[in-house]
Amino acid sequence: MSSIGLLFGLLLTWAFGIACLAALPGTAGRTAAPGGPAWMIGAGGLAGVFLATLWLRALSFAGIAFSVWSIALPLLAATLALGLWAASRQPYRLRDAFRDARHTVWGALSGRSLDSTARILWCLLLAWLAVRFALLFAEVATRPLYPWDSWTQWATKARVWYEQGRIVPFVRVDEWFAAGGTSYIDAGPHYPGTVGLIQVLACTFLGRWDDTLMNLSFWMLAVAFAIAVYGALRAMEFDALWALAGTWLVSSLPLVNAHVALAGYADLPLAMYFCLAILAFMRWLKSREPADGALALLLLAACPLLKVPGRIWAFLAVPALLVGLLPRRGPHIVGAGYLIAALGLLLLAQTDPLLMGYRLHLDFAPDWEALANSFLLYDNWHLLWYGAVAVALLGRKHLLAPGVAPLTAVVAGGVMFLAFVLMFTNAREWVSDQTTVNRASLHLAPLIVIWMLMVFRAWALSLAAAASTPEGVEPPIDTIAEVATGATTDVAPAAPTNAAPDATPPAAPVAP
Amino acid sequence: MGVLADRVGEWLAFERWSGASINTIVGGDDVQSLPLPLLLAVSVALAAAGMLAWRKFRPVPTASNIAAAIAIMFAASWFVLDARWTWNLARQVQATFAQYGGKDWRGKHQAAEDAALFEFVEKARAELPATPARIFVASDRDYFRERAAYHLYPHNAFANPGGNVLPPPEQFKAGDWILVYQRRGVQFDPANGRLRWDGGAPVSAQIKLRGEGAALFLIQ
Repeated sequence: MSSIGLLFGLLLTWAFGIACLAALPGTAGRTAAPGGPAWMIGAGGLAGVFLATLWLRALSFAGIAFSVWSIALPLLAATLALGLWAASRQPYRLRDAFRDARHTVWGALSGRSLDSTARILWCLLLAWLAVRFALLFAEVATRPLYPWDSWTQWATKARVWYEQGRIVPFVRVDEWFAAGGTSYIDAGPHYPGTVGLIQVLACTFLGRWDDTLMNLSFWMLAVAFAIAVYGALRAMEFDALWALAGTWLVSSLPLVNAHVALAGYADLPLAMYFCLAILAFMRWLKSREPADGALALLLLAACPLLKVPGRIWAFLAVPALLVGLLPRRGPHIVGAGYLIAALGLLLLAQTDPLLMGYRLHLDFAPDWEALANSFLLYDNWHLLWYGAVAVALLGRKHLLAPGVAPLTAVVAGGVMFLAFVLMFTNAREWVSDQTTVNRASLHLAPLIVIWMLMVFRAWALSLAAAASTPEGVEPPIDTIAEVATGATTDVAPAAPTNAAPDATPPAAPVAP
Repeated sequence: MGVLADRVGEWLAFERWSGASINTIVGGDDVQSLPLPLLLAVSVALAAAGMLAWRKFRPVPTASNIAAAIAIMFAASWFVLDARWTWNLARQVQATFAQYGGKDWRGKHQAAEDAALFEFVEKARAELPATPARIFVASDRDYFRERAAYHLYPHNAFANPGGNVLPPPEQFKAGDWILVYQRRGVQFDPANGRLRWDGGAPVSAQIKLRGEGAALFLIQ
């Protein structure tokens, strides 16, 4: 095998994920919607890679050695079978489907739906993004594994599992001595193995251990993620230019780029899977299609298997669902839940306990200078945190508007979690030395960009609506959010979309 | 003009990858008098505040343009930062190509920062059995200890995560290996085949490979 094998393998896992999504019931009719193809292609990439790692776990459990045959053949067979199954449910022939897909993709790439000025901006932005990903590709494909943790606790497992052709346990020091050579050890033996398995996949397709090229998987995931974000924003009824601008904001965050270029950590994959999981839940809240729900659960399941804090991030889907399903009572329940959780942690902190490896304490003395450097003065995030704070202030009346509220619940929970960890645990030291604060924030950053766009749009629409009313009075918030999200109704017993058991009847729509 | 040139010089200073890059991107010089994100954010904030204040005294229809104006200013400022970052990334790619371009996997490691360690570990691997063996790594530097272990996998490498401490002799068994790299306190008596470390009891060992400040031992 060779680089051709690696290319084939990466594309195969991507195609496998797309085929899985295409075969899910309820998907067929939605690919024609704005952003539908982009969402399926992008989310399919992440789903395919994660499912492939689950396949590796199954192989190892069954005692079958990792090889091109044991991995590529089943994936290829499944891709073909699922693809044909999905195609058979289409009302037209496969050849027509390919023609339509080509037409749709080309139409989207050329910005056909935009007017002349917007189309020029679209093309420039697309070119800018292409340059970015080309630079990142060049870096990933050239540099051997570089950052510290990638070779002390992540790729260590990949190397051993690839060479052994199976998953062998990594254990703590005392267990390692007791095992007498049957178990392995590294700096993070209890860390989940998904990152290592992604690297094993790449090396297996490549046919040799190569700690440079194996990281192309992470570049591919970043590309797929960008495509999925574009699709999600289009589905949220941002026009093509705004959706691409949102994709650019997410894909241009310097720390995100650093984690692509210096791949091998779990933080960026966790951020991408978590973000898409929440976006898939948002789609499910609107569509109630099993396909969206299944995808959300799959992507969410990846979070704890990528990194230990993924358990907390995965849990944050619960507030989003509560707020989405119960628009009236949900925010109160979630607010009360956060308050109880905060009080509980403060009480627990008096006993100086260890929670998920973090030692809690009540000594509130954050390193403000280091925090300011991380979020505001250094270029880790461009203007993300300035923008997030400004948008929260400007759009404060719209934070709990339908369509925005579930994301607000996740972002609020995430920010509280980060604040608690960085201010009330021993992780505070990692703020001062800048080792963890940004990586921990990275898990939430892409979702904050999307939340920011949604809140800003709700605020902008409220200004526009106020300008269009004779008295200059802002219309009711629910009405604005309805226009913003395009949701037909918040209750809509007759409509299959966005049915909420305790929602109020919708106000009359107001044109923006 | 001199002050402006100084600031621009700080913002455009090449920030190459370092061990800290995975945690923090400074955005130019390590120390800056006026960080560019702060300057741009304050500029946008002042302009936006001015426009919002102006809105109070102007006819309502102009309000609809304010959000668009703020969005454009924000995006333009973001683009300025992103252009700087892209320029830095392009320079980094050039530097990476100069160091690693056109080399295979082995060649890249021979061109890396730990080339000398990699070369020694490659020689050690030639001495080790084909099947994975238990091998203890000793070095005064965390970097060399962890890095040597990484190069030694899939052998069953032990680089003590707790620090620069080799386990006591009783935890070794015949057939284990020890790789020493720039580590004080390790003494070998070739005449009697005795190895000891940190003043502890000696164990029977055979030296298999010797390098500059480095050695590979087989416990017997």
